[in-house]
Amino acid sequence: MSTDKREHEIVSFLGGIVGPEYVTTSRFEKIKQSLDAYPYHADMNNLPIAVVLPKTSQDISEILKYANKEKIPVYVRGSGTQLIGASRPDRPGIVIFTSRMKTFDIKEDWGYFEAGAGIRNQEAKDLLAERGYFLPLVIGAKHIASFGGATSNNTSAHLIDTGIGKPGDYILAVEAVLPTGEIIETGTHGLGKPAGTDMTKFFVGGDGILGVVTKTRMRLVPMIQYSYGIACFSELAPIARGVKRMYLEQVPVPIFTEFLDHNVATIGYTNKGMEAPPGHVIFFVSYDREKEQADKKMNLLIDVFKKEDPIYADPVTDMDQWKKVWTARESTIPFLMTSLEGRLLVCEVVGNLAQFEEMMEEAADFNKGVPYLEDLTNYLFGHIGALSFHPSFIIPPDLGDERMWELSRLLYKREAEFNAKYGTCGREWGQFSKRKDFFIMRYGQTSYDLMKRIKAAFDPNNILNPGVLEGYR
Amino acid sequence: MEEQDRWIETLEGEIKEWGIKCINCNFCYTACPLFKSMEGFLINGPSGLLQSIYYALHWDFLGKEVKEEIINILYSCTTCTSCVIRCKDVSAGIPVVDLVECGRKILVEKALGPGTAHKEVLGFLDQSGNPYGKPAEKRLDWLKELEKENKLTYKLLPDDDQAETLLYIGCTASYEEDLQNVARSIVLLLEKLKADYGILKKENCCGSPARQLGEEGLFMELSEKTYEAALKSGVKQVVTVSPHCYNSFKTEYPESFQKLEVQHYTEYFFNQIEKGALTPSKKIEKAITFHDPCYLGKRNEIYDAPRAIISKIPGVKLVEMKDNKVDSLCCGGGGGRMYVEVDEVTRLSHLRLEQALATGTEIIATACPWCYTQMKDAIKATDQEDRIEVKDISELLLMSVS
Repeated sequence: MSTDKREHEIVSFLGGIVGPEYVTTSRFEKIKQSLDAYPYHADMNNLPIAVVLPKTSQDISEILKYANKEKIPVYVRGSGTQLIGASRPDRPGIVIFTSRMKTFDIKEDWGYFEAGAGIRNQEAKDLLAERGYFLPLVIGAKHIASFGGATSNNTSAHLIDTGIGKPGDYILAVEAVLPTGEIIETGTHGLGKPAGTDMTKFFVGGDGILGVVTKTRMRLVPMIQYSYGIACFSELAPIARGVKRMYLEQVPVPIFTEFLDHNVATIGYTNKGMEAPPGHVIFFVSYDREKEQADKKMNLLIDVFKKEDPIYADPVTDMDQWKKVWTARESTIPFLMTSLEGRLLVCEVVGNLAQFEEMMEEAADFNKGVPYLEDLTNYLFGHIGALSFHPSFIIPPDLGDERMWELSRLLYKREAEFNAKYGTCGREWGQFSKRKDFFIMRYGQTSYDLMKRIKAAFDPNNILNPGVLEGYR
Repeated sequence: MEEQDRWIETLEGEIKEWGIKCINCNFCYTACPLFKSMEGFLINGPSGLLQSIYYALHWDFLGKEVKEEIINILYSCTTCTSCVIRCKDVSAGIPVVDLVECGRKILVEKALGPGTAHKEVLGFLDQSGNPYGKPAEKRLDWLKELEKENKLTYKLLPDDDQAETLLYIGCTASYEEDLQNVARSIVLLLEKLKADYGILKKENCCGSPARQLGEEGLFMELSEKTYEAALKSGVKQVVTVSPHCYNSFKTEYPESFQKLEVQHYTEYFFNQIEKGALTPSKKIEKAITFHDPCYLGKRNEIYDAPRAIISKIPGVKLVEMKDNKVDSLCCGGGGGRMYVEVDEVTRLSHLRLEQALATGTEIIATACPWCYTQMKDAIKATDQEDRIEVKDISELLLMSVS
C-alpha cells in the first residue's frame, strides 16, 4: 500500500473516532509535536503520520485498539515539557495530544478531586485555590504541564520530596487505557491508599510506557501558609553542611530550598534590577497550615544555617523583595540564555545525605574532564533541600545539531556516572529515554530486561511510546 | 545581490536565529488567546507559529506545497504580544510577534502571501489610503456633519494654519459609522478644553495595517505621507484615537517623529483632568468594566490612564474582568484579523464578552476602535444587547463633562 493511501486510511479512521476537525496531517503540526524542550531539530524522515486530539478515554481506547491491529506506534503528549526526550516521537506514528481532555471535578464530600489528562498544572492549582485547597505539585513548566504527564512522570519537580512528598503520595487512583485498548480503574474512592498490590503504581511514575493515564484522582490538601528566608555563603561546603544539619537536627523540612551559585545568582539578581549578592544564595520556603507555625519553622531553619557562618541568613518579610529574588530563581534558565545568548544543556544530579558535602563539591566541578564541556562555565543551581542540582551549560547557538547531540550524550553519560556513584537517581524527569544507560548502570541488565518484559506484558506489540525504554532520542 | 534579496536574507536570518533559541518549552501557549480559544493544535499558538516559519525556511519548502498552510498559520496571530511578555518573564525572551511579522514580510516579498482577503485590504490601502476602500474625499464627512451643529475651532493642517496639537483620527473612526461617534466625542472634548488643535486635511492611514500584513513598502509609503504632513504642520503634539496608530507612531515611525509628543487620547485627557482643565461632573450610575486594548496595554504599558478616567466619573463603579491589564484577553481584532471572517471557535471577542458578563456590569468600556467593533459584534451575535453595551471612554467622558 502506498504511503499516501495508508496515511489517508489512518486519518480517516481517526476522524471517524474523534471527528475530522480533531485530526491533522499538517506538516507543521507534525513538526511541532515532534519537538521537545531540548534544542534539537525535528527529523524530516521520522515525522508523525497524524496528530489527533481525543476528548474521552473511550476515544483513546479505540485509537489504541486500531493501532494494535495495524501495528502503528502511538505517542502520547500532554504538553511536551519533559526534559529527557520521552515526549519526542522518534518514528512515524500517531501522536495523541491530550489538550481537550479537560475534565476537572472537585468532590469535597469524598475528599478528593479528579483531573482529566489535559488539565494544566496552573489551571488545577487555581481551581483548587478557589476552594481553599493546595495542589502538591509545583512543576517548572506549571503554566503548560498537563496533569496526565505529571502523573505519568510522578515528578516532585522543585518541591522537596522529604517534606511535602511526591504526587504519587496523594494520588488515590487513576483511570488508564492499556496499550491494548482496555480501560481500567485502579486504586480507591476512599482516602486511604491500598495496602499490598496497588496497580496505580504501574502508571504513576510509569514513564508513560505501560498505559495512558486519562484521569487522576488525588486527595484534597488544605491550603498552606508560607514563610520565607534567604541565606548567602561565600563557600559551598558550609551550605552542604547546613543542609545536612537541617536533616540531622530534625528541623521541619521546608517546601522549597533553592540554591543558586554565585554566577547564576549574579545574573538573576541583576536581571531583576538588584545588586548582585556577595556569594552563593539559598532561598527557603517553610510551610504550615498556620502562618505563625510556618514562621516558627523558618526561624528554626535560619538558626541551623547560621551555625555554618553565612554572610547572612535572615527571614524575609518584605514581599516585594521576595518576589524579585524568587523570580531571579524561577527565571534562572531564561536569564542564563538571554544574558549569555546561547542554548541550554542541563542535567540533574542527586546526592545522598551521608556524602552530601563531597557530592556538592563534585557537582560544582561536574564538567571537569568532560570533553568540550570542560571549556564551558558550569552554572549550578538546583533544589538543594532535595539534595539535587542542575549543572547547566550555555552552548553557542551556531553549534550544529550533530555536535549538540554529541554534547547531550556526554552530558547524560556524566550525569549517569555521577548519580550511579552516589547511588541515587533523577527525581524530576523520568528514568528512560536519554537515561536508559543510567538505568542499566545503576540497576543492572537484569533489572532492565525485567522492565522490558513488563512492558511486553502490557504492550505486546510495543506500540505505546516505543523508543522510551529503548533509549536515547 | 539585489536590495530585495538582501532584505529577505536579513528577515530569514532573524527567524533562523530566534527559531533555534526557542527551546520549545511551550510556556507561551497558555498566554496565547488564540490557543486558549481553541485548546487544539500547537500550530495555533506562539511557538508553533515560530517553528512553522522556521522549518519552512530551514527545510526550504516555503512556497511549495505548504503555501496556503503557512499563510493560514502566520496570519492567524492577533499580534497581541501576550506570548512575548510570557517568554520574556519565564523563558528565552523570543520576540515572537516580530518574527511573525518577519514571516509575513517574507511571504509578501516572495509574492506568496497574504491571502485573498488581506490582499484586497492592501489594495484598498494603496488606492484609497484606508483599509476599507472608502473614498479619500469622504474621510472628513463626519467632521463636516458635526460642524453643522457645533461651532468648532479645529484647523485643517498643514495648509490652513498651524496648531499645537494634531488630532490623528485614523481610518476606522473616520469611516465606520459607530466609531465616528468616538471621533466626534474627542473633538467635542477638545473644544471644551479650548485646545489649539488641528486635523490633517488629507489624512491617510498611518500604515500600521500594511506593516502588520507584511507589506513593508506600502507601510513606508503611507507612513512617509503622515510623517511629512505632521512635521509640516508644526505641531508639538500628536493625539491619536486608535492605540494601533499610537503604537505605530511611537515604535515604527522614524526617530525624528518622536520629537513630537505622541499621546493616546486617554493619556491626553487624563492629564487634562489632573491639571483641572477638564472635570467629569455628571453622574453615570453604572458599573463599568474596562477592556484593555492590546496595543495600548501590553504593547505600550498604558493601563492606568483609561482606568483613572473611568474612575473620575462620578457614580461609576469600575469592576475588573478576570483577565485584566497585562493578562488581558485580546478581542481578536489585531494582526489583520479585523479584515477577515474568522471561525466561530476562534472569535476571541466571545470569550472576552463572557468575562465581561461575569462581572455583572452594564458597560464594557474600551479605548480602541477595533476592540469596540469586536465587542459590539460579539454582543450582537450572542444576543446580549439587553445585558451589556460597549462604550468608548471618550463617549463616557463627554457624557460626564457635558
